[in-house]
Amino acid sequence: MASVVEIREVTVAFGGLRALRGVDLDIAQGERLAVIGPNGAGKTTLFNVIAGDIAPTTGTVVIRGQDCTRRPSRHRPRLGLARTYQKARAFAGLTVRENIYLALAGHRGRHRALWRTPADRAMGDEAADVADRVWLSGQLDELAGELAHGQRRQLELAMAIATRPDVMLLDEPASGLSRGERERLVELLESFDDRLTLLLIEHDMDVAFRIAQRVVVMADGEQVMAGTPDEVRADPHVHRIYLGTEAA
Amino acid sequence: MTPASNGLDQVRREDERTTSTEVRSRSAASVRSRLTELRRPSVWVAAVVAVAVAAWVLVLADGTPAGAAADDPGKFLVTVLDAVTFAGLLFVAASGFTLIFGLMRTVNMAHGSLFLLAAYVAIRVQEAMVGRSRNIDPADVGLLDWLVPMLAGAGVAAVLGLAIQQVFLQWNEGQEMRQTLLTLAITVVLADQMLREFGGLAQRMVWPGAVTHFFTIGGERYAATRLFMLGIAVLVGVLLWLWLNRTSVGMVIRAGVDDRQMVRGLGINIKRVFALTFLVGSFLAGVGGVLGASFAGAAPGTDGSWLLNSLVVVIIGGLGSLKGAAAGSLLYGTVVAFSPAYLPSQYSYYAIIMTFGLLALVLAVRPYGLFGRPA
Repeated sequence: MASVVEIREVTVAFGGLRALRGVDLDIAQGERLAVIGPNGAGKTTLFNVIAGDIAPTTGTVVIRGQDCTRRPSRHRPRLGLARTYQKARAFAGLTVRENIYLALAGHRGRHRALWRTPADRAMGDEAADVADRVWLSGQLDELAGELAHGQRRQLELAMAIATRPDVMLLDEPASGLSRGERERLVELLESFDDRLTLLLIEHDMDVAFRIAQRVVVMADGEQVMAGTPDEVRADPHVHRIYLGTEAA
Repeated sequence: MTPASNGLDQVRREDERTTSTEVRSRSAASVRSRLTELRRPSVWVAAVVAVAVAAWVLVLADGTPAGAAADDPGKFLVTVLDAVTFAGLLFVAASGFTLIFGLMRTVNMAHGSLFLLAAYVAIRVQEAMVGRSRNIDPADVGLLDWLVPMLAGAGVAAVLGLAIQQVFLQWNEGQEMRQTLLTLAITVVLADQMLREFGGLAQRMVWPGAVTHFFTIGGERYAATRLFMLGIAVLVGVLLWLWLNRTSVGMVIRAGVDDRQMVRGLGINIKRVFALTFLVGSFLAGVGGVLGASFAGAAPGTDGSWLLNSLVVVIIGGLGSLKGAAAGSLLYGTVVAFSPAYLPSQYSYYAIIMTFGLLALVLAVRPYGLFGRPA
C-alpha cells in the first residue's frame, strides 16, 4: 500500500542535544500506528517534525507525495493532516462551538470572512454535529477554559476530526483521562473510517495496543524496533527499555 | 444489545457521574478560590479605600473646589460626565494598544507617535478643507470637515503602523524585548521628524460647528463636544466588539490571544492576522489622536503622554483585554476627573499622584490587571 507519510533520515538537533537521530518511517494509508518509548525518546519531536512545528536539521518529510520538509505547519491541514497536542490546547477563551467552527473555517479558508454567509452558519451546525460525536453536545456554549480535562481532550479531538483529515496525529490522547473516558476514546478511535491514517503517541499501553496495528518503539531519538503489538509486547529489548529488566 | 455494549454503557454512565462530580467540584473550588481571594488583605484595603473615597466625595468634601456632592449635586454630575467622556478618549487610544499586545505580545512603544502623527495629519487636512490655517471658527467646520480629516489621519497612522510591523517586527516574532526596543527607537525618530515637519507649537483640531455648543445640566454649563467624543468612543467600542465577537477574523484573533501555534496548526496564516491587527490597532491610535487633538490639542510631547495614558489604562484593565481597556479607562478617567475637583484646595496640586495610587491599589488586588491573564 502507498505511503502517506515518508520520513527519511530525519535528525533534529537542539544545540548539542540530538532529539532525533536519522529516523526512517513509512506510514501506509489507513494504517494505525502507535509510537511508544520512555520520556525523552523523541516521540513528540517526531510528531512536531511531521506536523511542521519543527523543521528537521537534516532529512526529508514527504506527505502524500509532497516534500514538506521546510513548509510551515499551516500548510499541513491542506494536505489532509490534523494533530492534537500532548497538553490539550483548545482555545480557552472560545466556546466549544467556536473552537470546532474555527477548525472548520481554517480548513476551508473561511477564517477571513467579515460576515457570515449561510455556508458559515451551516458550519456552525456542522460544529454541533461533531461535538455530538465526541459527547460534548451538552457543552456547546461553554468556554473551553472551563471544561474538565477529559472534555478538553474530547474537544481537541473534535477539532481534529472536524476537518475530515486523511492523517491524524494524536499526542498522548489518553493522558489524564479517567477509565471511562479512556474507554470512550478507544471506542471513538475504533469508529473512524478505515481509510483514515492514525499515528498516536501513547504511554497507556492498553490503549496503544488496542488501537495500533503496528507499534514503533523509540529510545534516545532512534527507532529501536517496530512490529505488531504482540511482537513488541514479547520483545525483551522493549522490556529492558521500559522496566530495566528482561521479560519474564 | 450485546453484553459488550451494555458494559460500555455502564462505563459511560459511571463516567458521566464522574464528570458531573468533577464539574461540581470544580465550581465549588472556584467559589472557594473566590472566597479566599476576598480574604486577602489587599482586597480589604481596596474596599476600605473605595468606601472612604465615596464617603468623602458624597458628604465630607467641604473646602474642595467642587464641594461635597450632597451639597452641590450639579458639580458632582459635571465631574461624573468629565470622567466618563475622558474615559471614552482613553478607551479609543488604549484599545488599539491592548489589541496589538493581546495577539502579538508586542508592547508597541510607537503607539503614542501614531496618535500624534494622525493628529497632525488631520489638522493639516482640516486646514486645507476649510481653506484657513489659523483662527478657524467652528461655525465654518462642517461634519465632513472633521470626519474626512479624522479618517485621513487615522488612515496614515494605520498604514505607517502596518509598515512598522512588516518591516521591523515580523522578523522578530516572539522576541518581545527586541520588538519593544525597536518600537521605542521608531518613537524617537518619528518625534524628531514630526518636530521638523509640524513645528513645536501646540495646534488644535476644530470640532464641527454642529456639536460646538453648551447645554445646562444640574445648573452647570457643559460642552456638547465632550458628549460627541463619548459617542465616537462608544461607536468604536461597539464596532470593535462586533468585529471581535461576531466575525470569523475576530474569532481568529481571540484564538490567537490564547495559542498562536495552535492557530497555525489549523491552517491559518497567522502572519496575515498579525498584519491586520497592527493595521486596526494603529488606526485606533489615529482615531484617538484626532479626538485628542480636538479635545486638548497636539504638540511635541503629546505622543509620550498618550503612550503613558494607554499604558496606565491597559495595566489597570489587564494587557490584551478589550473589557479591561473599557474598565481601565473608566477607573483612570474617574481618578483624573475627581482628584482635582475633590481634593482639598491646597492639595489639588497632588491630584496626579492619585493615578499612581490607583495603579498600586489595582495591582495589589489583581497583579495582572482587572481582566488580564498571565501571558
